[in-house]
Amino acid sequence: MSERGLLTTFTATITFDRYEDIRAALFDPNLSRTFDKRSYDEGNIRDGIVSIAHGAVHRARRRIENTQFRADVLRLYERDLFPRVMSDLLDRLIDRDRVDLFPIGEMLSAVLAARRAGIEYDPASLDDLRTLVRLVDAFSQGAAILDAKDPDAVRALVRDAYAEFERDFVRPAWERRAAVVAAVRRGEVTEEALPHDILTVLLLHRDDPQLELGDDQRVVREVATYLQGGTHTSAQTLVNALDIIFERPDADAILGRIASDTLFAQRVVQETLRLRPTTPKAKRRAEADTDVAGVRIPKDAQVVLDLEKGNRDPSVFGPTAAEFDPDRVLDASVPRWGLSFGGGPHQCPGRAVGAGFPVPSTFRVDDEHVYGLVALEVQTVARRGVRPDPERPPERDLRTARFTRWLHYYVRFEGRAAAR
Amino acid sequence: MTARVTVDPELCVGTAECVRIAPGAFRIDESRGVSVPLPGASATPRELLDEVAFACPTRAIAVRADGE
Repeated sequence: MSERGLLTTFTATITFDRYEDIRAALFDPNLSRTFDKRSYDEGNIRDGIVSIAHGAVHRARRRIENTQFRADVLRLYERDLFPRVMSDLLDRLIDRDRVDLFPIGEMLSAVLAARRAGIEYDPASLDDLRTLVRLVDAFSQGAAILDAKDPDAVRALVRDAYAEFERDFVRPAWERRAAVVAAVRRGEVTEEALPHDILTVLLLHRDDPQLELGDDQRVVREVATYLQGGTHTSAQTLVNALDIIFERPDADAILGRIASDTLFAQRVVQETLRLRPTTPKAKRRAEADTDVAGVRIPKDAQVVLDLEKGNRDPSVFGPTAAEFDPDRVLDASVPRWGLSFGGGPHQCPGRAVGAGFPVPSTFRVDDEHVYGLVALEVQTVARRGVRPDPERPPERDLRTARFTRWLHYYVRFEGRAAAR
Repeated sequence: MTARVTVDPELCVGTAECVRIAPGAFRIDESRGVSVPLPGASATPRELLDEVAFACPTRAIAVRADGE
């Protein structure tokens, strides 16, 4: 046994930290996210989910799940659903001058992530939403188990969370959707009657052996993956954006620009993602001997992709690569978020949900543009007068080695105090 | 010179990046969840097609000069 209790014995560990080298590694089909049996399979923490599936199974799964991320759906979410949800929730959650913004960010994101995942909860109940956020926290620790400080505790936590999630959220939604799918198959209703969410497409297609979805628990884990992915990164990015801004002497001016310019707010979010990737170091395992950027990688080598350094590569982002500059001009082929959403076949499917479409180098967008939910969140809290809470410093999530993760982020709202 | 544009349906996972970048050149076949080139794809500016091929996360899109 090696590597803090992992079963895999690596033949070598190879690290890439240049942007182009990391991008090449992300596209290499021989480098897999299927990593380690103890970390993922044992106890069914991550077994078979799309994030670690490889090759044909992964592609088949993505084909049906990507249908839930079409541009027209994203526009509907951010122009119609989300502004109303956000306004209503913030009115309820910002109930005093000083609040912890991180769980609020999670709750904002969880509303739409739950809808997309296909689980049901009482929208009038903050308790339901808080329960979902608690479960997301457990799933997030599971997703980051390779960097967990106590992996056994994480495994136990995640197993319990799956059981609760299935019983209270997935099964009721599953039964209703299975009934609609059956009615469609009997020809009693058309496909128009099907809900538009991940759980529904999984139930609709799970008979396809290519998808490897015969095990009910795998369906539960897949739905949890989308709930977690749609909640955690967005909330962390909201908080990281404010954390970067609050450290700057021109914080007030930046918040003022964000409040009045949605495209600037989006660039702030994308620049934040570049500097503070939710997964600072991605890891892969070589399933076969391969070459990346001229480096020979033997089978069963661990490949570490240092996204934090790659995202600050001056040959791509210029001499000020390490600085926060939402107005930086980049080559059109370089995304402003760098490699923070990965790349290649495993590129994050929800990228456009949180961060929107790429911002063109001209900074001009048309009516089809999607700004992303986090930009709208940052803009909304800026308009409400968000400022750091001088009496309560923020707290990082010390359960993980990932430095970009927060547990609590205390802020005050000047607008609220002034309005009284 | 026009280009020959192909999408490998085995590699494509239907992210629709190609549709976002060049909506006149690609569409998603929702029954299979994969992208297919539209008849007008070959007349799309080569620069835009190259951008699409670069952005495709599964490298399913190939752009060649006619006759290549």
